[in-house]
Amino acid sequence: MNTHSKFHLSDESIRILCSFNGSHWRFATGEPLAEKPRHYFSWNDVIVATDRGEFRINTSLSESDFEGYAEEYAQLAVYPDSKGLAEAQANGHIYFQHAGEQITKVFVFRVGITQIIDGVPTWVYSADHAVIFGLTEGAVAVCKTGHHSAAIDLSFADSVETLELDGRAHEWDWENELGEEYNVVTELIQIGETHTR
Amino acid sequence: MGARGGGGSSATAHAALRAGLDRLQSKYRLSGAGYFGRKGAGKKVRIISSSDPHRAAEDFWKRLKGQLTESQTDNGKGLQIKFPDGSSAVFRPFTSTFNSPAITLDVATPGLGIATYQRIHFTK
Repeated sequence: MNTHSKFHLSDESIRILCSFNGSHWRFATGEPLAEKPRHYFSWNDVIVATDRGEFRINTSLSESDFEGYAEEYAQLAVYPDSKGLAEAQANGHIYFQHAGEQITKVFVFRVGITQIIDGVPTWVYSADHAVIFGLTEGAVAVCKTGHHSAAIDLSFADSVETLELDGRAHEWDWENELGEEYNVVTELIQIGETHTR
Repeated sequence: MGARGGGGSSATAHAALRAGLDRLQSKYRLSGAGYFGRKGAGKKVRIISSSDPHRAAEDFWKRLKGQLTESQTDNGKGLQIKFPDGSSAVFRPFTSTFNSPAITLDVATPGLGIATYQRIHFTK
């Protein structure tokens, strides 16, 4: 094995997410995407507001050379602030879908890709691709738009199961040479749960 | 939003990207899988050969950009275009490969006939 590159949420980010488990959803920020109903968009930050306060889900790019050349990869993080909220409110970029529902479960959608050449693993890339909130009557995903972009997609659905999640592993796993293969694993990791009463 | 780049609020948020791709395809061949140039060393790396790689990269960038506004990347190493549909492109005039500028293209809208991500190096 040559390299193992991880782009996971930090312990602090997970702690912040868990601290809002059981709170009641108020709204989230983003810009509209008319071509994708129930989807919104941000270049760097999505702010989530609950009855316990706000937090900000952010992506930034960090460099790694595990593929053999320097490339930038998107890294998710969560901050306990609402930086940018005033601007979003001023622009009308806040959405109240599912407001009042309780956050009952919090998940991380993790994508793991192992490159295997002639039967030997050469690198492993593992990234937290989305944060997912299970609500009493719906679900919300805050998802990277890609592995190399800081853009974020915010989407709403009727359940966690019906969220549209794409780990974009096909960017590696296509037209493989003889002896080249990719092992792709996607996981929905539950990091918090609250039982409704 | 328009040319500034934010999220697309119109029904044709990907129109600017589509227009840029059309301008590129009038000069640069796109493979059936949606990649420009020929296969490079990495899985997402493509190569476009030219006697003047910098001039070729600038030509590619201008065709892609059209009337959109470019800005500095956060790390200051390149220029970026933020398309209204959430797609983005980055032009790095200098990379770790000598005399090989690169343009990365990250496509957010599916169904445009182009790969969701590619890194195009311009070489001699």
